[in-house]
Amino acid sequence: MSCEEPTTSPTPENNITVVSSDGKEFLLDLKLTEQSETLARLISNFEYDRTDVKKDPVPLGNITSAQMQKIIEWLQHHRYYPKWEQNDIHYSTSFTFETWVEEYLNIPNNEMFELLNAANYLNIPRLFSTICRIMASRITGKSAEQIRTVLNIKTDVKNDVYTGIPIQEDSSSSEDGMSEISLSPSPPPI
Amino acid sequence: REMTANNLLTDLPQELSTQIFNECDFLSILSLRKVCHATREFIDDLKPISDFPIIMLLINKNWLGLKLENGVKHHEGFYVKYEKHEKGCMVTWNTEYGEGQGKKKLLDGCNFMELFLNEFHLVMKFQHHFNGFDLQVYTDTVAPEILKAFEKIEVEYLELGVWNPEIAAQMLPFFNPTTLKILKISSHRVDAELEKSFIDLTEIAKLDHWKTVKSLDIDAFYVNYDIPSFLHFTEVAISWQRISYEMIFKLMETMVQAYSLRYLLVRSDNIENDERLIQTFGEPFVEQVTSEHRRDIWYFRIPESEEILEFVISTKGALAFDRIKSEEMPQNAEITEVTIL
Repeated sequence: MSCEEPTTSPTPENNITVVSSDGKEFLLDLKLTEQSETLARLISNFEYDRTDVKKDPVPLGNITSAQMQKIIEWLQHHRYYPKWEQNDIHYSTSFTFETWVEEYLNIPNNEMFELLNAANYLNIPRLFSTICRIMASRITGKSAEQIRTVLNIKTDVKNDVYTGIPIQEDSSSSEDGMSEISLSPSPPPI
Repeated sequence: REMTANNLLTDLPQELSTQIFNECDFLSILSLRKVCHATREFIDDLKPISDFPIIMLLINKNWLGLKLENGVKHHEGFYVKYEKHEKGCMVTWNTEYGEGQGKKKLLDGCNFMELFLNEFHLVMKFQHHFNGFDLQVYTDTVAPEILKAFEKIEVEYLELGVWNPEIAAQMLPFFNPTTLKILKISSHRVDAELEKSFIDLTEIAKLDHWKTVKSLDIDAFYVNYDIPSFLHFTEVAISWQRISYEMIFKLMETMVQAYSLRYLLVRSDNIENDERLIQTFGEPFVEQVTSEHRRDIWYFRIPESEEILEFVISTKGALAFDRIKSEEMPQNAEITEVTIL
């Protein structure tokens, strides 16, 4: 699992070095970088896929070494997956995930959001979409109170117990308080 | 705002949290609005969903229903019923997650109409354009509070189901005529197995909707309006109390020359289909669909056109004119030549 002791040692021809924000170097197989549109473009721009080109380490100023390790774990798992296809208009959200993915993303929210930022920065569409769907799946079917627990949010809205209509008046909520009851069904059966 | 620091969703860059919200279903978005003021403002600015192409409102004296259908992202629907109760409002709701099992809760001291309007307002806040809007009014008048909730709604397909035909003329102006393509007005009388009543189209025909709609279907109401008033539509379905031989002949003459109107269906339980038709149009091509159901079909040449006018009288109580290509005709059918005087 650890990326510092890669099982297959990359040779200089088929890898690049990336440097995390805290100065740690990672050897990355070129095959893995295909999943990151940011890295893939960089490699193609600098022609790093050619053996006769000298490769400088690539600084990733937005990504810590812990995040980089987590991302490499993702890239290695999806090494042989087909290229991610963009959703078309008939796309329907799926909340079904591989067990591996569920375990991989069983992390605290703050780490999840950092990972989402990193996936966005490196442009890894499969990881990005998966995190969004995992987060949405944790929200779906929950009442406001349950969502507060999931997202660890302390409310600033005092809801009437029965109607869920905010008691504390303010401009944004006074005119459209919702009936909590009708709009917060129980979670879907698993 | 002191609580914002705890709000993980709104602490993400907006482009990222938008992506998460976009994966959420409608009910979750509504729940998220109640999480805290920051998420509420965020969602209201973002309007992340306009996910329900089809909406249905049911208006009764003692209960109101709101149904959203065909959610694009989750292929979902949900239905809430707000019922007047001596202690307040009984709310029943269903989602597709629940596999049809409804949930019920009595909201003490709440007004059923107020609750309904709150949620209808919210739906309208997120979504201004619907593919389909189905408004079923079972009362004789619509309460002014409800009328106030309607603002020029953009919709392509509008169905108005009413007891009182005047409600149709009253409700139509609340829908934007420029987007409206298909209009269906139907009567609840048929469901109750009552005799059809008449609808007066005078007021409706004065509205812009009458000019912009392409397809008009007036189901289970008799109309007095004559065909020339329908000629600018592309498709029309109406009911007449009685269709005489003379009317059929005149319809054929009109339809053979009609420019816009490509399809006309006239329902009637009283169609004069006798030997005079055979004397005038010739023998029909007979299609025996079942032992009880027969279709008599004539084909007319349309002057200066490649198309053929197909005319069907069905034993199911309807006649229909349709423009077809000549290759769509049965091989042993004949074309009747028409001389327009």
